[in-house]
Amino acid sequence: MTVLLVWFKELLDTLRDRRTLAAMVLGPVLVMPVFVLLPQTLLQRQAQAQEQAAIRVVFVGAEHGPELVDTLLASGEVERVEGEEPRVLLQEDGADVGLVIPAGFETSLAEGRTAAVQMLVDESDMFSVQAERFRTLLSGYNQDVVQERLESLGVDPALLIPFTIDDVNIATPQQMGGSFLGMMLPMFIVLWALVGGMYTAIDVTAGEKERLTLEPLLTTPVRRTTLVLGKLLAVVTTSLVALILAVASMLIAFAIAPPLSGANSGLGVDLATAALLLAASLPVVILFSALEMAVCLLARSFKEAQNYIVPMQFAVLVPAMAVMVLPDLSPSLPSFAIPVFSTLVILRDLFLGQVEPAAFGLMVVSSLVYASAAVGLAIWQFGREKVLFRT
Amino acid sequence: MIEVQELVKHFGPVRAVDGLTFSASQGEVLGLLGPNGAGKTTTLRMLSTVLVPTAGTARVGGHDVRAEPAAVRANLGVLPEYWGLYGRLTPREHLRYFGRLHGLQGAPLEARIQALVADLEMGEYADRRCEPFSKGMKQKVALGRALIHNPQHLLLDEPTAGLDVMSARNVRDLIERFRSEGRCVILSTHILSEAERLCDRLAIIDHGRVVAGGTPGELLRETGQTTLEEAFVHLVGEVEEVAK
Repeated sequence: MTVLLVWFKELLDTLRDRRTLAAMVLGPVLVMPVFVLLPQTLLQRQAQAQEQAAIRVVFVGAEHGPELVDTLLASGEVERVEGEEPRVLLQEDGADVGLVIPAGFETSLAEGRTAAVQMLVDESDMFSVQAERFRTLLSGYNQDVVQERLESLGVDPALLIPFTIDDVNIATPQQMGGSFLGMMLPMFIVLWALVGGMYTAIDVTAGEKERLTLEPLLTTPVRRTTLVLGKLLAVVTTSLVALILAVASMLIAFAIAPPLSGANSGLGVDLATAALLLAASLPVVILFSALEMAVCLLARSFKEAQNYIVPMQFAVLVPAMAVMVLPDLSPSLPSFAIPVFSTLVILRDLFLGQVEPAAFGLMVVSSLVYASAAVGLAIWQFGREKVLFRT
Repeated sequence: MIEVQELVKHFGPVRAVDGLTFSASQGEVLGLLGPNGAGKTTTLRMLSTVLVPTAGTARVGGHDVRAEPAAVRANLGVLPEYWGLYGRLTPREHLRYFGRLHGLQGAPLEARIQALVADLEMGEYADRRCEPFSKGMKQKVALGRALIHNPQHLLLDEPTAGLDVMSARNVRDLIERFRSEGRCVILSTHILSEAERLCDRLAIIDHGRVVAGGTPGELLRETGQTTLEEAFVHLVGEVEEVAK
């Protein structure tokens, strides 16, 4: 099997190259857990730190509502900050919230009318939870006043609350995890399918041209198609390894630290699902590998080939983003013949455990057709004198 | 035996090879001599079946380059102008890979590799990666690669270009040996002294055509010159004038 001979040599060559190793192994193993762990760790840390800290409040016109101010301070969660310019204080992070109490506030309350206060918040501080906490305190005081008023009228406060609403989450922990994975993972799988084999793809095409090793290879009795298939197999292997490592490291990170409260370990992905994920990814891996080879063959050098590959990454990122941003997207059956996009949707549905067999089949078959066309393109390129000897 | 008849190769409007005819038999060294861009490398590439001729025929060991390219390559060793090695593979790995691509395997292949490593004196660095090798060392690996399947025909493109004195001398000795072993050798060069010493016959090529052919002595007689360099200038210069 001459194809395997070429495959083995290209893999050996790739494994001895630090660049490829970094793209194939280090990249997925190091980068993926960071995507899972970093944002949530940061958010959790910040939220926890803020919940323990007092809310720093600047009061303007405190003398108009001493009772309100006293109640807020009595909660123990509020720290009063002195200052004349609440806006400046907020922007310089000297305070979390400003409260402006208008003249006549207390009188309005006493007379049973509606008064208005202003709450100053810096909304550009997206991760702050302090404003929400303060709003809850204010609402609490609001409720107290309502209760007092009703009692003074001799009315039961329960009259105003015909019923309460309790939220019950019926999603299983696996679904909670699945929706998160279903959002993130398809994009990363498809991205690694593209990036994982990239250096090998360049190396076996443009790299071979740059090193001038192509001519000796072409003067062996081996047919060019065989050479292309051996090389393709090496690129496919590299990107599959990268893809599997990426998914595995992400699932492990997910198991160690679930990003959603209530979500169980990502290892809820069982072996059967894992096999389906792999089967769903394989056609797109072949498609990308062959396309990368066909495109990189046009380049004279490694560097030039890298420039050709970047636009391909954008072409993949756009549909990937769409699937990520629109989690409720449920395309019609024929759209499962759209390359890349269909794979993304099927991967997402696999994580959610709601794949339609017809859609899955159409995706695999159509992707294989595109992949074969791409392999044909690569073989054709490999036969063109202009492409091979473009110097 | 390598026979070339009215061989033509066009790259778009460029006539790189424009009706070449020559032949070389076993135990003979034929030199293709010509200025840069004369079409020497293109001709060798058509013989090695890497490029397909636009017109004309070429046969290597009786096999047509267009009809039976695999049969041509099976009995042909090629040394490209630039050796073209995989920097991350060792010489031994190069020989093994190309040996297997030529269908060799197992003990016979390992024996052949061992013989070439000894023959080309590569023992010291046979298991080191090729990346940092000197030109002479790389040339030896490339020669070993061209010889791994013991071909009866050899195409050597500028075999001594860029080599130091000792390495170039070794290569010349090897070419002498190829002749005595009965191989058919075609080499391209623009080093006249080398051509004179090594080649049994010469084909002077310019603008993709053979402008003169014969033994070095015949070329001198034909042009009435005393050195090959003068004969070369005379022949190539003549064509330039005709072209104008």
